[in-house]
Amino acid sequence: MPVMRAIGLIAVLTVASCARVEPHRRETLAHPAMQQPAWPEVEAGEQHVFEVREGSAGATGAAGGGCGCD
Amino acid sequence: MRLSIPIIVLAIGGTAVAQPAQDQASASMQVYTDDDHVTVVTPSASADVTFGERLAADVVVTADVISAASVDVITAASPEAFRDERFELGAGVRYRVGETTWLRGRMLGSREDDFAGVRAALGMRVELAERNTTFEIDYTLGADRIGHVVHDDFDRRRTSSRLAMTFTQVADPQTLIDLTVDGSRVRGYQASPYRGVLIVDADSTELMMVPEVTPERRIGVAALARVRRALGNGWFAHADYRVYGDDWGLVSHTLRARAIATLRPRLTLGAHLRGYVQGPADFHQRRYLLPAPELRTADRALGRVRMLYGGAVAEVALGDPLGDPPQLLLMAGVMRFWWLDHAPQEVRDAVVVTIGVRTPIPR
Repeated sequence: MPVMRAIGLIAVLTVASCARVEPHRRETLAHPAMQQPAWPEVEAGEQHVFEVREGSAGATGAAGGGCGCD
Repeated sequence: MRLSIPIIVLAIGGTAVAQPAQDQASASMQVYTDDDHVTVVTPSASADVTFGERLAADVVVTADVISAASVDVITAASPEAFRDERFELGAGVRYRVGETTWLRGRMLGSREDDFAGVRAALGMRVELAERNTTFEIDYTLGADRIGHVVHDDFDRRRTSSRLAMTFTQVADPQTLIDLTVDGSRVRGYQASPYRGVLIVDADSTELMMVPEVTPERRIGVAALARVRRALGNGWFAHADYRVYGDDWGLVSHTLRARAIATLRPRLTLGAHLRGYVQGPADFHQRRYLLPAPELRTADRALGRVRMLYGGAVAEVALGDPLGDPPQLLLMAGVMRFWWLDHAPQEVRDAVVVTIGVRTPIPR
């Protein structure tokens, strides 16, 4: 499937292109505004509105911010 | 359920939300209203608590109170306005294995007068490469029971399974990149018991209403790529693109962008834009002619859809920002939907307003 191949390629390129960032340089990444979703309390309902009225759903999540803070 | 059949089909995506660094509770109230006389009031409350170094748990309670005199309902479901209620309860646990691995589980149940659904999810989160890379995987099983508010003997079932994988990479000290792939399979009854399809006899121009029939199986894949970047001076930006395709022939594309500014220690503002474009399912037609095809639907959400959304969020600290005070959240958004194959109302405008409070739980 072309989409899956494209995602795989992006993943490989992403890993290959990223230098390791030391923990003391990740302070900005731990900022609440860098989290996804930034405001889960209000965004869950917003996402629910979209899913009920559109024909597709899924793939909206994100993993942690890489801050090593939990 | 009359307006919202797929209400929790995939909603357990909540397993992948950010894990708070401390115990906290939150409550919110959302009001949705549109120009089709639909109003939905949604109160919600949640709590997230840690137990020692390794164990954490959360619980979420949500209700919907729906009042509608919608053109969809009047023409396709019931002859008059109605009021409906939905109640949803979710609970999850997370257990830390070693320094960089979490295992997690979640249960979610949802109930309405004519609908009951349950989801069970298991997942894992692993931090790799000195925590520069985070990988998450979640598998969800679901079962739904669909009834009818008038016909007590109407009883249909469906099951669902979903596998979601998310990969987040630290690109540099200011940038995160997310890649998500999400596959789902639903088997069983996926039509609406309230929705009929108009069939036209081309010879006599006579109209007849027949039940909607959709395939018993639906397999879909969604993929998302996102960039989150700190721009400096308290400004942040997120942008993502999502593509979805399934074996019903439905393909959609979603673009989202967000800007967040921490203007003052007590005030954070966000602005959010979203655009959505969807093509129709293979068997969807604007109108059907005799003889009625085996698969047929009048579901507006399976036709051509466009959507534009713009919203803003304000987060205000209710006290000294250094003292970890409660946060007040205000969100307002406007949206326009185009259901291009839905004759009763092709364009709909809606407003969503949410007010919420998040507060640390003292130990």
